[in-house]
Amino acid sequence: MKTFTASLQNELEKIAAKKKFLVFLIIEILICLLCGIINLAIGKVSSGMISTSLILSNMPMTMLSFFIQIYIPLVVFMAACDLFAVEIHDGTIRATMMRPVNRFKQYFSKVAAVLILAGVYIVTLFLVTTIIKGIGAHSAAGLGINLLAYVLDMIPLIVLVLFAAMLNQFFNSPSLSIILCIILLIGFYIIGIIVPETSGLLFTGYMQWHNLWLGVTIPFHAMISKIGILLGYGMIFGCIGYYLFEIREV
Amino acid sequence: MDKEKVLEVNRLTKLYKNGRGVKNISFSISEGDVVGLLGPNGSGKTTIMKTIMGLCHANEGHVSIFGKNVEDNVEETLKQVGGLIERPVIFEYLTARHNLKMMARFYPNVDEARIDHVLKVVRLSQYQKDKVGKFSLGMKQRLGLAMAILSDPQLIVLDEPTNGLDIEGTVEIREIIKKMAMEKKASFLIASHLASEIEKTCNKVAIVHEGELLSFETMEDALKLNPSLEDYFLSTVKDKRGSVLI
Repeated sequence: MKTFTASLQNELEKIAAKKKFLVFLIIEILICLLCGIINLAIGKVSSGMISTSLILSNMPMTMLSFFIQIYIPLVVFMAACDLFAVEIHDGTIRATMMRPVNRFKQYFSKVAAVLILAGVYIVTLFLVTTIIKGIGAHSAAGLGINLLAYVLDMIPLIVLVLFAAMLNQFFNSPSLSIILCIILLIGFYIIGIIVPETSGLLFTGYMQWHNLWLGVTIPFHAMISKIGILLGYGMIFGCIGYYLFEIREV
Repeated sequence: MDKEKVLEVNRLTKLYKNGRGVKNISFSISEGDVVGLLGPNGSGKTTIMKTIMGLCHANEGHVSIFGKNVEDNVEETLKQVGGLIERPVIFEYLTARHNLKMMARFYPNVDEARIDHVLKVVRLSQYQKDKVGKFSLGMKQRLGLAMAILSDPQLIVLDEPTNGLDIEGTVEIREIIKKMAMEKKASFLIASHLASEIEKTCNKVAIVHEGELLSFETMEDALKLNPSLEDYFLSTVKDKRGSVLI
């Protein structure tokens, strides 16, 4: 466990040393602020005809839908690419591989680091949107539900991180890896839209996991099968990715 | 009294898809040995070293460190090994000290004082807060060596350690190796294609040619009938192969 913690700490420090992740976090905050300001401005211009408090009270959930499906996956792909494909490409992956830590711990410490990064983005999003809601709508109603939605949406993110980590094992080229991650994610979204029957079978169909649990819920046995699908994807991505990492020669 | 065997390479075969690699390599290194792995470029020196460090998987045979198979006991065996393979593996966007600190986390015995010590040994103390990306090739090589000796390992595997170093730096590295072998009884496996470097640093020499181990002798025996290690290398290759391709 000690070597896993050491490895995880190293991976987190590598991420923290790269300024782009901070820049993307600032952009996330700016997008939220901009949305809040625009809504307030619309309210002012329409002289109260359009209720800004109604729009702003729903802001945490609206923003979550956008960020969880588009923005955070991009950050996840970048981080996974930096910790896997880039390190394999420039040989720095050897720095850890020559140390007394087995590859299982190395692989999953990198996965955990990317997941923690995604968590930071989610927490920041929740805090910023909740503050904007509090200021704009003068309301704290639904705070618990919103928090639960954010926590629930971390679950499909685990699968997404495992998916990105696995894809990064197939290629030595960082640019190819990241492009493939993006193309496949977009492809899965498009397939889910064009053929709605398949959206339930693709893990990307569950990116807004909270929709299944909050509001109008589906029967429990249907939930079990959906949990099974997501769990299955996670296990498959995790096992394939780790296996490829274990046999890799650098 | 027999010295303890630190490293044992037993019938190691590692072949790449292109058919190159090493075949049936066997040798062992005891406590305090400084073994030079001499051979031309592409002879398989790095492959042997990569397999020792667990970076490559052997097709046949095995590598043991203190009697334990490396592939089965990565955490236990690599605790006692430090390495510098091909080129220094360093994160250029971090400082020299940060690079060392990150690697120190894997060893319970490495503290801040030890980091200070290795930085001093490789003469990088004054540059410890500089980003490695700004370092010269020689400084990176010295940092690579610092990372290899950081945990005070019993076995140190160095692939072309004097690459990119000036004369002063080369002599310094040689002195560090000799001092560690003498005082700490650390064992070294040093790969080089420069016979003169191996001759000055090592007490044993292994000749690797086209993926095969042609000889493994003490430096004394190697130089008995030959005026220099270069001559020993040429005669060994000629004896085994019938001709010398230079």
